[in-house]
Amino acid sequence: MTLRFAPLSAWSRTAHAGFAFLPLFALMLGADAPTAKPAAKAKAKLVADQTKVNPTEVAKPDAEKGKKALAALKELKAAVDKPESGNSASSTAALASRPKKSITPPTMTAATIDDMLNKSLKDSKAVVSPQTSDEEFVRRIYLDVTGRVPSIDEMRAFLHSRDKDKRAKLIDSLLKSHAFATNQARYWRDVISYRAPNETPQQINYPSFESWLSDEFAKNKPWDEVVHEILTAKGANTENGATAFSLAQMGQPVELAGEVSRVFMGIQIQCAQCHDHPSDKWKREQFHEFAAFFAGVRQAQIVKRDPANKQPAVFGIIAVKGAQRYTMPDKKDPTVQIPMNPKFFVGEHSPSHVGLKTDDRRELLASYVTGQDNPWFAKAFVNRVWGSLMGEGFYNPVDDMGPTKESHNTEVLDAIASQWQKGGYDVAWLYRTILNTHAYQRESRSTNSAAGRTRFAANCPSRLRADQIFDSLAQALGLPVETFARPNANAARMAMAKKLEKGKEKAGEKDKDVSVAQAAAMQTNRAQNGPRGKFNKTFGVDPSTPNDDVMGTIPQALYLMNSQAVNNNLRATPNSMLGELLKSTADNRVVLETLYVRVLARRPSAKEIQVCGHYLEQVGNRVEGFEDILWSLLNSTEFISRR
Amino acid sequence: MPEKTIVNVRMNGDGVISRRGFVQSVGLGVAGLAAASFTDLVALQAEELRKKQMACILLWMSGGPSQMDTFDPKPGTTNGGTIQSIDTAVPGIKIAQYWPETAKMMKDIAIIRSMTNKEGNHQRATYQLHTGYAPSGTVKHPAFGCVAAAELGDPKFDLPHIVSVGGAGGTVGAGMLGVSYEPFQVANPLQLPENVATPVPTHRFTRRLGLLQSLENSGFAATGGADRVREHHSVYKQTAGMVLSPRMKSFDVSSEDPKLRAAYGQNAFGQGCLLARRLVQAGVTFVEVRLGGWDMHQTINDKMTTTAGQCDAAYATLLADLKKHGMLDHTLVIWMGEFGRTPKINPNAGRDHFPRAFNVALAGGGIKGGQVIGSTVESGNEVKDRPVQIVDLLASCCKSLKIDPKKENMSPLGRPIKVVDGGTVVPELFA
Repeated sequence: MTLRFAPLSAWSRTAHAGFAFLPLFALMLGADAPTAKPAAKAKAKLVADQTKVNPTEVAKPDAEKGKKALAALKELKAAVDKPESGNSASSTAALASRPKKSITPPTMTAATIDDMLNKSLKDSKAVVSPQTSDEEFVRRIYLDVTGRVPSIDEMRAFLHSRDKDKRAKLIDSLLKSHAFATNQARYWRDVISYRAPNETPQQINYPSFESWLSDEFAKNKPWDEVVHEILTAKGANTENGATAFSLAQMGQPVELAGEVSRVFMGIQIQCAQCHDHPSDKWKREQFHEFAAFFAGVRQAQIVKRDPANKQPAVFGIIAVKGAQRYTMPDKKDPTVQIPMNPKFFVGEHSPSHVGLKTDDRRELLASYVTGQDNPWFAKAFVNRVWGSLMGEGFYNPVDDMGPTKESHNTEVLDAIASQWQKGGYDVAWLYRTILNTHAYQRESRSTNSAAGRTRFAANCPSRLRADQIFDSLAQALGLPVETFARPNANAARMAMAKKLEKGKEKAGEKDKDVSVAQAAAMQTNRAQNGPRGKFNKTFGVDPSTPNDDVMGTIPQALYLMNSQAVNNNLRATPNSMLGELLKSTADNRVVLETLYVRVLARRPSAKEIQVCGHYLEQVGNRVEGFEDILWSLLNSTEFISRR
Repeated sequence: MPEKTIVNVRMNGDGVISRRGFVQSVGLGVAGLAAASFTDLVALQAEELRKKQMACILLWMSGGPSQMDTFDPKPGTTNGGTIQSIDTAVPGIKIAQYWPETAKMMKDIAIIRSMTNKEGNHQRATYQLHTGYAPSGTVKHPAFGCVAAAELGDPKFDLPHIVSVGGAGGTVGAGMLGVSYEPFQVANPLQLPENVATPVPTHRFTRRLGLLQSLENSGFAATGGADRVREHHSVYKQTAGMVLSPRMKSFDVSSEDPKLRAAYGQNAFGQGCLLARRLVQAGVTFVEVRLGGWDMHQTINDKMTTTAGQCDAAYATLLADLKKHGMLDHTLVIWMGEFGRTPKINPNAGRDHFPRAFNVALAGGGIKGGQVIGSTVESGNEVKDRPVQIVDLLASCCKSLKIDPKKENMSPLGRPIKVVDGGTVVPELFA
């Protein structure tokens, strides 16, 4: 059935323009407040974002368009006039029909995974890379779990311990640290932000997302519950950090459908937005049926911008109540819109849903996506975690999975995913199990070696994420991450840092003079333009990018080579890290070892001691020589790599 | 002979094909190549090289300039009443009163008054005008400038192929083309770009690079990181090459004649335009210079004098300067913003976003100047004749720069993305 009427999306766009379509919005919103016209009108204003389009464009539609719009309006009004009768009942029924979550504790251990992998490695006669030394292990585990290199003390404690289970114990303790939660939150922030069609961070509020998500990880909240909150998030981004995901997609059903599928299910169904998927089984209808779950979701200004009182806007996600139609443009004639009902594309038996309320549509969607009957939800997370810990996933890129995609050792992925899913999505269990495998703890190998070419016969070296490099740099140079400057080294900068700290406190609503909106704006500004934010702009990479495709850039090299931040702080001045180190000992060997441990978390090899010794002799100036050595270590591939 | 094959063959900066590259391509079994003689390839290569001289300067009017206050004035009408029009060097072509210097250069400029689009949001329209595509989460489309850099840039050139100048808003990046074609940012044209100056004397910098190389070889490269080290080394080689390049002085506008600097205007945009000329002269393929302040929702008449005044002097001087240096024929200069503004003045004495009918101006790069293409109705609310879509504009820019608009770049998921999706060249531009 093909119905001819103007697309809803077009209305909402034009409604942003101003007065012309306000009655329509009032009508849509009025479904739950039919007597309160002024309130509805105010709400409608909230819906409009800052986009300003010429009203005449809207006010003077051609006759044909006008007719279409009028017909559609009538249809919509009819739907809104009797919304509640069918809605509640069908919503309840649909939600009730979904299976309840059940928990079967996993029986799988790290050894189970190793057995499965070893069998396939044996079959392939691959050269398997040996287990890492404690020195290699401790750097890797700190970077992977906490997002930074270990401090000298942490390294020493681990290396000196004679406990047989020290690796397992370190894994347990690091997984309980807040650094693990923070590291995870930053990773997922990047997963979302690097593909966000909305490029205005002020509208999204990533700091709010980060702090919400790190709390969830700190509580080891099951992954399905975390994603459920993301998929059904409503309200102001200051109140609910989980809204960031939908705000990053500007609340647009089409963008939401594509990203929910890619990020949480590893399926790139958005290719089917315009045509049947060229290399997978997804059909165009299936994409739009999925997108129909998001009908009625809107990005809105929850608190309106008020320039007179220096109040920035606060954005959020609202669910427009009442009947919402989602339509798919006809392929042959895009002006023809075909109404679509929500239907989940995974599994054979998902019904097509009619007459649901906006909130219930998203509840139902969340239940489908995170349900234990959706294998892709578990596989997507496991594949990502495995990919980041091993340097390559079972499927690569990690977010391009699907029934017909090429994968390796699929039986291992399926086994882990299935146990994890039945076990109720325990994130810490998943990490603990993988981190304890021999597979994870193998030495890294380049792809030009036999072990490097065979999947999972070695760990793959990969490039660190921006946050990891920033923290490692601060640690190597002995700088606090908040200011990235030496105490007393730069009074102005310290004062600025203090000011920013104050801003942070205000963001915590301690100061009632600062509104929530102002505090949020300050926090976003700090996240964008503070030392870490600036660094991330230069060094950031979309974490869904396959390892081999992550390339260094000229601005990154320029930063490490020439920036004041690096060069002023590596110099041997009276109170700098290197200055104090050189003062503390006359033994060049000790200085060299300390620099290697600080920067690369390992001792130098005999060859490296020789190269550096020779260099010091050549330069003939101890201070200059060591400054150059420190510079070289910070500019080395190894410093920015996970190995 | 498929053109693709030729592009795949490596050549050096002097246009001499590398025989090793040639043999490798044959070795890869490219059909048809074996039949071509080495000399044929060199000849074709020379043609490629000539194309490489083409360059483009995009003057980006961030915020959306009003068409009635720029190149489509409507004096005496209800909507355009207060803005006077002035004569230009081309009889019959009149532009708004704020542009006296540009008026003198009209023989080189083609105005398109019939641009039309639907996107009225700054961010989305900026993306669309830069890439030719609507934004989506699926694919990060490369900006047209990045495509031009990838298509035209000489691989051996030691400065970035694409430079983006100015602080007003951001630009659109290389997206799926990858970091090699990401615009190199210059926030302030009066200063050297960030981190290009070495903090230590050159001899010490070079010494450091030597130490780095020996440590890399004896360290990570030997312990599983060989691939990573190789990739890192190539970025460092390129970066160090740039830092030490004598061409870096093209970033320094202070060496120019003070009179010329004054003519461009002693402001960031004016000096940015001068920088653009210097960079193109040095061999940079694409330079974007941004001027903000066009988002005039309030009191447009007051604001226009300043903003248009800066732009007028810089734009006109740039064209004259390019001409003087014999560079205009192979340098396309695009003047545009993300949309136009409402013909009707709003209650705040400003104009709001208006994508339906706006104007752009093109010059150089084989564009036939001294003409106006298309027109709008008296009210300014509609395009009257010859509507030009964004893709038509970009297809025309491709023609000027000798880039194949139908060439497909692969997205990371293997989806082919055309340089320009559809669109037809505006033939009048090249008549």
